[in-house]
Amino acid sequence: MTNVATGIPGVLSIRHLPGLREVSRQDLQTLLDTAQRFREGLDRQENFPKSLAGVSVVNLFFENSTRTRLSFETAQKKLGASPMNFTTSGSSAAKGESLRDTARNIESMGADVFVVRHQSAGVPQFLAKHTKAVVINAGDGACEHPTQGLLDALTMRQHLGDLAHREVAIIGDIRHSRVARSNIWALSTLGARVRLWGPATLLPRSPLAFGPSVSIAQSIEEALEGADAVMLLRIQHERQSSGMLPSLREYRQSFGLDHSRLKLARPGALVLHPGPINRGIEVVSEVADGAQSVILEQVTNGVAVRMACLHLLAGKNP
Amino acid sequence: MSDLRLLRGFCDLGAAFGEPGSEQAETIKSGLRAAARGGYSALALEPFTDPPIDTDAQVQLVLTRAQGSSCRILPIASAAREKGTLSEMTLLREAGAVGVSLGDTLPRNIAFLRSVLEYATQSGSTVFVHPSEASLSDEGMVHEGEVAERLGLRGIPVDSETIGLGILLPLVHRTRARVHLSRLSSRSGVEMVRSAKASGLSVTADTGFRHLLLNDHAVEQFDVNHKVFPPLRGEDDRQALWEGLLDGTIDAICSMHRPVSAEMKNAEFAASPYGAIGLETCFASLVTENGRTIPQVELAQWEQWLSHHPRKILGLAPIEAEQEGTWWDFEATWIPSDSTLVSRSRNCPEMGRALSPKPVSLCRNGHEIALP
Repeated sequence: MTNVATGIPGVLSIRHLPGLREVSRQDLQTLLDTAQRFREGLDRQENFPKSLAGVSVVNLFFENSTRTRLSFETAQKKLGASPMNFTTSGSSAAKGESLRDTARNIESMGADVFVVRHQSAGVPQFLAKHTKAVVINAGDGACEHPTQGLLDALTMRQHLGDLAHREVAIIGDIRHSRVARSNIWALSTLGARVRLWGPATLLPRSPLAFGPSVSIAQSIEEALEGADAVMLLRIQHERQSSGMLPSLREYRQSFGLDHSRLKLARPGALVLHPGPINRGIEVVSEVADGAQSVILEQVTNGVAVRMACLHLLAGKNP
Repeated sequence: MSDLRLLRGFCDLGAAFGEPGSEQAETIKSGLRAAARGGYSALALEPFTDPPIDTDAQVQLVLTRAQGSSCRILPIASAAREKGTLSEMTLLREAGAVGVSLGDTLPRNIAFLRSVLEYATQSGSTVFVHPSEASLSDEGMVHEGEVAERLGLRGIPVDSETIGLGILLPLVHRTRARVHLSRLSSRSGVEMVRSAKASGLSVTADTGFRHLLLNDHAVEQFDVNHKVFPPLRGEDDRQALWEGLLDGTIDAICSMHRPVSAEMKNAEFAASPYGAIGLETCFASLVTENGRTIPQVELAQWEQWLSHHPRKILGLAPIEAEQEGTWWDFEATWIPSDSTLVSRSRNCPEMGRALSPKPVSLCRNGHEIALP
């Protein structure tokens, strides 16, 4: 079957996107190929076929988000949807309503698609089980952030081509990072190898959990040595008050990326960051804004990836 | 075809019901009915209801509510009252409490823990506790291991149990308290209890039946019915629990019966309370897996772990099956479902799975009587 909107075969074997861990290589390729078409369309400022016209999309954001929500909304509008937004900073339980009731109430107003962000891992699977809507995860606790993983993979693929046997370093708070997990799953499935590094208190405690493609480095030098791409994770300030990090000064000194450290990576290695950046902490400004940085490309690719997910999971062929 | 066998009534070392406070989840009557249908004729009841069972009057109330049931109830009272004061252990014992409990974690104040043990020794009360250290277990949800790492869920490390034991065991040695370690879950924990017993400490221990059947992979798809405390641990821990059971380090198998109403349980993983019901499915689940995913165990051995040893720990006289037993059909299968379970709660991981044997009837003083 050919999808008219993109002119490429566009069928996924999955109905929801709770994460990338269980997404097959073929589905990943389809998502990335479709996203690439959308990205090219965005660059040419094309009008897109309105495959989401008449599809009711609800953005359920139980946790603060600016860029992910805006990115999803942009993607939805470009495909002809009129999204509804449900935003709450506290959990639904704090208001006395269960998540199940909240979701089923909104579903009853008519919702074909839920884009959900929640502070608890497993919420996308929970919604997929308890509602009839297509569920796309926009971040669940420390578990997954699949569209971020896809946009990172797309960005790397645009510069590096096939990601098989590529070496990717992820540096920072791995333990609490859904971005790291989604990247780990996508990159492993696509054949890349991943090295993890960060403060001992923020590294995985079970190094074998992620399979043979993923290793924990022994030093920042080992993590960066010959890497094709370096991904820096945002450091959360509350890690200091919870006793996991002494200071941002020490973090910058031990884990921050500057020019001299970047030289350890392969010449021209990509620098990625999911944002928002703590400038001068995870990465110095000269590197974040430098020639090897693809941080702003990630943002544009984010819209293309979310268009691809929505289109393939919920779009109607025009 | 049927294969009927009469087994001694089982005895559980720590089930929880919801009365008072959460009667929608389980009343004393509904819980005892579930127990009888699981082959139990006696059951030690945990005190952490709302309000908790921490006075002699409440112990008497529990006993009164249980009258007329096919399963005898033995209330465990709370070892502490609000604000970290000792409960009236002597009055509680005289009212019928079979012991006192510290619950799922050790008190943060170790000096208070020592007081509990000292006072319990003098008043002749057995202290029940799952020895986990609270600061290591408080924020976790599942076993700290590869599954937790993959799912990004906060883990409960084995260290929480070993450090709990490391705090508790020297105090048991010093105070000579009689302590029952509930719901042992880890290899390191088993090893510590093994050497404590070898050194002559008066401790006994149990483990939950699902900890003998399953490991932490059971939560890999966020199945809330497998969210229990202590958590289902790694495969190596499960194997060690069997080693401990077979060499006598672990004395008994418990149901870990924790009813939670559907309204509470059917929430996202983080918001879903710990607990699964287990009285009705404990024995049938074990026998269904006998010689498959667990070692081959003879019926007489199950009776040791499910009846003799728990009764001994609670100070009850041994029984014969004719006097207090259950008829089971080892050729029949049954499927836990809304229509077969009698517990008021449905947080049952075995829901929909075919189990064997099936309870047929009760035997009391030589007379066959129907299942309640």
